[in-house]
Amino acid sequence: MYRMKALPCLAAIGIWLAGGSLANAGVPVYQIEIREHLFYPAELRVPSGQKIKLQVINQDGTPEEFESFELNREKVIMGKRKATIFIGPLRPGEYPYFGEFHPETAQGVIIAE
Amino acid sequence: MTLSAVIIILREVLEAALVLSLLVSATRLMALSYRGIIAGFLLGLAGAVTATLLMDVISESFDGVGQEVLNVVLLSAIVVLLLVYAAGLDRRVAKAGGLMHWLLLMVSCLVVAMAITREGMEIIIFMYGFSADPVEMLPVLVGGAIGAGIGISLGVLIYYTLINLPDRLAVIVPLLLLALVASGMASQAVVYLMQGGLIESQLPVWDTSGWVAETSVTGQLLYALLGYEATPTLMQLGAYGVTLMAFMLVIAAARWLRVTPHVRGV
Repeated sequence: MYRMKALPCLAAIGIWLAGGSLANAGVPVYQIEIREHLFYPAELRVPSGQKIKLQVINQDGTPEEFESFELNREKVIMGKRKATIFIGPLRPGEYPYFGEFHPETAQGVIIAE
Repeated sequence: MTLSAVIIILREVLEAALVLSLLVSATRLMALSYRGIIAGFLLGLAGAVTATLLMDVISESFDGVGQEVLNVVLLSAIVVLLLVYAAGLDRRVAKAGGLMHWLLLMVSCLVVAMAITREGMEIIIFMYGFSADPVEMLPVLVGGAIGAGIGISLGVLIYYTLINLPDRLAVIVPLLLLALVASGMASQAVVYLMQGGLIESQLPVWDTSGWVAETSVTGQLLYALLGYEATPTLMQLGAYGVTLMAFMLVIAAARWLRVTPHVRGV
């Protein structure tokens, strides 16, 4: 009885996850790189009022955490890996972000306009 | 470097210490067995190490949003389990033993395990990043120890405050605090769904960063206790409200069922 219910449930979750990635197919992609505990570009301009896919590429051998209180985002990126983070829609303005593991140097800002 | 290590470890430890202190005080007040929490703690340490070792695989799964999926699963599971816990918590359960006692032990074991996994893996990943560099490692270890010390002290402080409450408040206060923590987690799960692009994000409803900044000590404490965010979206507020309401209903219903059997003529 439970098995019969689990199957459609899993299928629904699968369709939702697949649907999620399809729905994100047309979302503009912006890249940020981490090198020597610095963000490049340190200042990223993006359009306001729409969803944006951030790709954060960590070129360092050590892990970093992309963190922004203003964007309400937080994600660990292992060394030599990249991470996908969806942000927006944003109101026009400045949204600082930082690398939580190296906050003295890893600082940047996303400017929505 | 020491200061940032203090802050990052404190933030992670504080969340886990809060959940742990609430469950430990409830366990003591209800005279339940501590076995569930101890097993959960060990399971959580193992979980944190496993999740760290698998972090590359987890991150790459689900189109690069595996971390978000994992966090949503852990957070929602904790919320549902805490709801069961709130429903079942009663002094008579420990005395009666049997299925209900076992269920409460299982629930506290799983909640502690998942909370420790979530916070522990971030600490391990952070520490691991400095392990290659002995010059940087020492201040990170010192800072981490200070941060952990503050976090654990706060947890101990909360624990002793709770177990010294007058009798009529002793059950309800930990339950209400658990409800607030769970509601914050539900709101956090919504953020992870948005971050992973699994649901559409929204513009924030308000911005209270001028009053209490999330970066401030007050902001961090409020975040751990109430899930405070300066710029929440409507869906986060909805998840928070629905969870809080569910807890209130469950707590009220469970108390009514227990307290008034003679009034109801049962």
